Amino acid sequence: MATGLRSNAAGNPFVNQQTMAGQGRGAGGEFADYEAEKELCKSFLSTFTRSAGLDGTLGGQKYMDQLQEVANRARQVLEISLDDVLSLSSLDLEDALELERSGSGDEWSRFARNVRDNTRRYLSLFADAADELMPLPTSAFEGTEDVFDVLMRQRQYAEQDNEQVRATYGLPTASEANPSGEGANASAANAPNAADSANKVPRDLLRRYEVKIRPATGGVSLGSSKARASQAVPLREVRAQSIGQLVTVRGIATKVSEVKPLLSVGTYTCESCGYEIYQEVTGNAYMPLCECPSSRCKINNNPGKLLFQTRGSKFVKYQEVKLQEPADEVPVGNIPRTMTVQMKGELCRLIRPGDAVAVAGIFLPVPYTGYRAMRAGLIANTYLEAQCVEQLKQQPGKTRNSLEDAQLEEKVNQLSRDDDVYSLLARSICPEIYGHEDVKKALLVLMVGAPTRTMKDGMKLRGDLHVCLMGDPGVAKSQLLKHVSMVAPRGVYTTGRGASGVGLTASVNKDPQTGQTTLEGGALVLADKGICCIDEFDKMEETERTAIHEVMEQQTVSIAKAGITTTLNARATVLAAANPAYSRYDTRRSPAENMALPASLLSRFDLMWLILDRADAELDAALAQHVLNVHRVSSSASASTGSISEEVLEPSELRAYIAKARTFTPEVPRELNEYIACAYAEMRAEEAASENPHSYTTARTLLGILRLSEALARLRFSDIVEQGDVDEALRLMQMSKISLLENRDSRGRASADPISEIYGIIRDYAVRSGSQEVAFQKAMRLIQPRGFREEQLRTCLSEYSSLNVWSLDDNMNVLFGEDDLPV
Amino acid sequence: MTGSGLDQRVGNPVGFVRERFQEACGGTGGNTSSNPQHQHQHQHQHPPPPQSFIPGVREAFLPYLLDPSRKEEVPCLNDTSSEDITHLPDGSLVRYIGMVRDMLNPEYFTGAYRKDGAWQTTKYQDFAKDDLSEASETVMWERKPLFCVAVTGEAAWVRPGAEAAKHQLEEMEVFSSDRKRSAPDQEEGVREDGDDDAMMECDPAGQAKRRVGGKGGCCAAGESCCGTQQQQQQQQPSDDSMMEVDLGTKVNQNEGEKPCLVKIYETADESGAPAPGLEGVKLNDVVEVIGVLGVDPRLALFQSGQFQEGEEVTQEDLANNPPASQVPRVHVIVGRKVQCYQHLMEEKFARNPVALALRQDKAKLEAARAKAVDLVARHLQGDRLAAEYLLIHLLSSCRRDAGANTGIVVGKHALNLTGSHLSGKECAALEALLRSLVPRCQSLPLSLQKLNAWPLWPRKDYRVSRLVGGPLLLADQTHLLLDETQLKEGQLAQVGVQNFQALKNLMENQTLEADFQFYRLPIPCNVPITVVSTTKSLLPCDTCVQIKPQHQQEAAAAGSPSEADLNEIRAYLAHCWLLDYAIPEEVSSVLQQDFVQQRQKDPRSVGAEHFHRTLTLSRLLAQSHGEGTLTVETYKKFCHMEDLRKAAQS
Repeated sequence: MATGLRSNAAGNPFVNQQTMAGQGRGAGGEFADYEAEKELCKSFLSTFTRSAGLDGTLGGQKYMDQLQEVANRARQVLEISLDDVLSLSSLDLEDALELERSGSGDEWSRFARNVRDNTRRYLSLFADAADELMPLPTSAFEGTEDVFDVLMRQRQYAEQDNEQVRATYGLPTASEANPSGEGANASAANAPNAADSANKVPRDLLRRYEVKIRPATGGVSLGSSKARASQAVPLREVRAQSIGQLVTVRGIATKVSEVKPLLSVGTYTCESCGYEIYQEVTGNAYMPLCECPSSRCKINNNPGKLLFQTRGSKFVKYQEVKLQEPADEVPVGNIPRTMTVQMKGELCRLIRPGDAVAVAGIFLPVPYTGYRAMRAGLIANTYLEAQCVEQLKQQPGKTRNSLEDAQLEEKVNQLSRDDDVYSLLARSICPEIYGHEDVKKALLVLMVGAPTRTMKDGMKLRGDLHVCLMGDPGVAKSQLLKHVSMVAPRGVYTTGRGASGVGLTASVNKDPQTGQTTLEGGALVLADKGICCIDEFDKMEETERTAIHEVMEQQTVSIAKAGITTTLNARATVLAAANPAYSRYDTRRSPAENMALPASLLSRFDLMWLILDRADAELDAALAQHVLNVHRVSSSASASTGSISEEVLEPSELRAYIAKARTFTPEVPRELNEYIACAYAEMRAEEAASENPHSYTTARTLLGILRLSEALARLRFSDIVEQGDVDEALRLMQMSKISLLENRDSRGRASADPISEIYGIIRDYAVRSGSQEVAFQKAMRLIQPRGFREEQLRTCLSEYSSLNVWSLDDNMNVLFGEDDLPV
Repeated sequence: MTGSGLDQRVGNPVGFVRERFQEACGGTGGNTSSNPQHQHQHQHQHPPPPQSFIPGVREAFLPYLLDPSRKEEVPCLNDTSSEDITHLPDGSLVRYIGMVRDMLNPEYFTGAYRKDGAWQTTKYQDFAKDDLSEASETVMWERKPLFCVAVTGEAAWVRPGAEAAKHQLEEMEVFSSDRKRSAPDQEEGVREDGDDDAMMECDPAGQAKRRVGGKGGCCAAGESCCGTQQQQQQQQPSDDSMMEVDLGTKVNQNEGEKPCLVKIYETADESGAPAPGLEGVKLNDVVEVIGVLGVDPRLALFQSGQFQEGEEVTQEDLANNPPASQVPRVHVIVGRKVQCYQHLMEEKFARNPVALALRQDKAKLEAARAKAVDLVARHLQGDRLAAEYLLIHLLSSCRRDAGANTGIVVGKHALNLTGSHLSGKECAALEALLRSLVPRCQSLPLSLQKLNAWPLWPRKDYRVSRLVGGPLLLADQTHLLLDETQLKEGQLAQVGVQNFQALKNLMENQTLEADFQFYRLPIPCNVPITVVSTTKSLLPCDTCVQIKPQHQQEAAAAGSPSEADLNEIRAYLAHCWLLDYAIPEEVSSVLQQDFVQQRQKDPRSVGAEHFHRTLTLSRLLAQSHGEGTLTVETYKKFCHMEDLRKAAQS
């Protein structure tokens, strides 16, 4: 049968076996008519018209344009996108690929499916089709001729000579030897001296391009969740059924070999007859030719020796990459799977070790040969012949979650309309830890951050908010840190002692395989544009601590080690957790003393928080209930959580919300300048007044207030900072300070009259804001951080209103008289 | 028909599978076999190539896995020493129990081929019986190899057989030396009843083999016990890289570990659902499989050094294709995951009168409990409180919330036994005791030198593409005994620090982080940990109990336990472990109130963690009394225990 012959004639017989297997499933056991398929390829290449304006380009014949570029030597790769094939079909992408089994669908969807299921064959069909369609170069090639050109011309001359010889001796002319002519079958069929077909120039040798097929993704990038839904399969799910098919997988490159030349067409010259003999190589191994098969040598019965011509042969770049399953695709308790990927031609050097990539390629088996086959028995090695590679850069602000993006967006938009979204978001951080609402708010603000500003003179003002959590052992600091690093799109959790040898900053290593010195980034460098959670900050080594100084303000890491002097970006937000130096936080000492950390380092934190476990009957009961619930469920039944927990957001929703918030760059309006300045001045004055300052109010604090306010504005999805944001920022700062002064209020406040102090606070606020009205809720928020209670506020309000200092409305809102406030 | 089919299944499983395959392929094989000339024409109407699922095979072999009486018909790889494996012919049906140590990349193999027009299968085989180059068509199937070893730290009494002999001997030695030291007069009488059982389990031949075998076996009492790596490492501490390569190629391939490459055929049945039994197998899971043995000597050719010119045999090939004489292959037909105590119950105590009595009679149970406390106390210098704690600790097990993604581990418990008098000797005695009571136990001496020398956490060796570093990779419910008494002052190197972190992580979260170079993956574990130390342990243990030695006389009063007593205690532990547990509403409200009150008093030390611990230990205490529900009484009893413990500490 003609088709049977054809399938054997074209190269690698092993692939054909797979083809058959694949087709048995796909096309119902029919043998495809490849001649017709080639015509289809041709018609696709010559007629496909890009719809104008889709990617900013004008319409036109996409592939003919590409071919023209190839002819003009401006392009090396002819990339055929299955999306384009499918766009000709009337069906949807999903439908078209789904209809696979039924075998129905229109011509183009069937064609796309065939290309996917039998990719290797179609690669050669497309190449043949492209050869036949190849236009003449429109512009002369500029630059010098390379070896290839020279050889080609000489081959042409030889061909002409050959003709003449043939004509002289009355042999049939080999006019079909025109390399880009009618196709191999014609020449193979009617050339009587079939052996001479070996010295016909193979098309592969003449091609100056390679054909690659890009899988159908519906126009989204390979690594995105949508692509995965339709096309990309987890590495684990690549099964025997996929052999011979185009599959897309994601993974981390663990091992990348050097780039080596791979022989694709070998050229020999015959010692005696001078003919050039060609040998096409498709597999990993080949047997070099030794005897000249040309008719002349045959006739003379003196086969000449063949000499291998390195310059005349065609080599392609070849690289082997080991791909390891990405961490999020490995089921719990399993070992990640690895896969070998072969990169050829222009795809080489696109992957470096450690890169997270999505690779589309043909999943192919290589049978063992020789002794190996005996050893391996029935087993075949498999590899992925790469067709298309895409880097997966983890971009902060881009969710890589499996949840549908649209659904998330919907939820985020819905949330943004919620008034209480701030508290809700804060609650959703580490929901299994009860209380600590203000700490969680601080962490939320940290995750959102403020925009980094670059001054005109090139100075950078960092937008990252650094937070330090202190607390007695066992107050779930680590849990908070872990949760933050999990939620943050680029969170790195590490301990001050540095889990890996690299430590926090960077180290210079020697690669065991190549012996090259390499620079390996530490946790802070890895967390660039993300959050670096450093547990046990106090146990950090001295060398690391000095580096932290630089990271926290300049946001870079400078290294001068082993002949390498460089500066790496480390634009990381630092979230630190530290145990007090004397195991228990001693409130009589300053934070610096308590933490055994220099003040210069501490002042770099925007917020410092002391977490103490305070007993609170209601919260404790809820906590007990929660723990009981967890324990009550017997091992067989599934745990029912959430019976008492409030509504919280999923980490993915939280992440989506934060990602959206980070897109805003809020500005502080001019009107607020005065307000902030007043607040700052007040803080400074307060500090100066206290005999034993426990805080360092510096210009850094002012920047901190601005950063906090901007982050809070971001949370409201607003581009303008409002007074409310500043108030909340000040409140957070106050609360954080209060947490440090824990237990001291009894001493400090016993002397002062709480009522008059509350009055002072409210009055100061009114002066600062320049408004005559202070709402009750506002007043509550003002006094709470200073440790006053509601009843004290009420007493104060009523006392002073009876003195006619201010008046109260029905809702206990304070109204000052026109003249009561100094301007 | 069934009778003959039965024999064939054991005698010639591959033949049986082939017959089923022919049946499944239907008449096509017979029709076309006569005239291969018409093959091409047939291809047009030929049905698609056969699926890897062969109906009827699983059902036919299932009884050998589930029916205890039929099980015996299949030789078990675990019970035969490695010399005997060579006598089992290639292709015979075997049974194997092992824990998953590594999961290799799937293998793609020629699963079926068409020769002379008829389809043949190679499923459950390493080699085809025909030359595949003559086949006209082939189909690729896949299978998943799991590298398994005998369950680490499994106690001898669980699986009496050759493997057990060594431990038994050591135990006896420890016991007898103990006895001689403490109570020479009592010895005679006790020996009498203990002997019969003990002797039955001691197979002298097996012992001899073990001795010759050398470095196999899991734990020698008292001496270096943390798996073979450390032993190897001690033997050749010279060249680091050399050693690692050597280690990689021989990963866990020591005789005593009974390594085996278990190949799972993940066949979906017609409906597409995966075959039940082995789906979702994880690292450290214990599996029991019935399958076809593969010991074809051709499998060893990778090692033979016969390389064709230009052929590259990588370290990876060597590591993944160990010689079949050392690492036999088992092609799994049916298999299941084995739960420690459930399996023990059904294998050993299902029809045991003692176990039945325990289940029905509360008094018997309490008596068994008293015996257990006595026995344990004797090893703890007569401290009954510490004995109580250790006993309930033996019942501990953790579980994870599957639904919530909080990753909270419930029920984990780590016990710290301290005492200034404790040393390696007491530790060894304690290990022997645990080994005689619980089904799985592993000890790990922590000395500065050892901590610094070799990483304890598992990591992937990319040169050989294998997971190495197994001392902490333990099957569920393996009691890990950490001997901190050897720890001296000194500097911890980087490896040592990371080892400590790994231990800490294991203790706090019951997970081990495996290093995969570009990321770390947590491996969930379920190993109760006991730390023995002279002062409070460096590791974050949940409960620290100080052993107060009682009067020596009293401690020595009773003799060593008889095998019958031991069996009773074992049955008792298994029974209690398996109890379902619940906290009634009224009890929980009492607990809740109590918690709130305690927190009012001392908010710093009473927190969620404390409450978790209270609930865990109350549960264990209730279970140790054979109660499936928590009562206020039990809770009070526990509080009393805690008070006593705290008093003892101060």
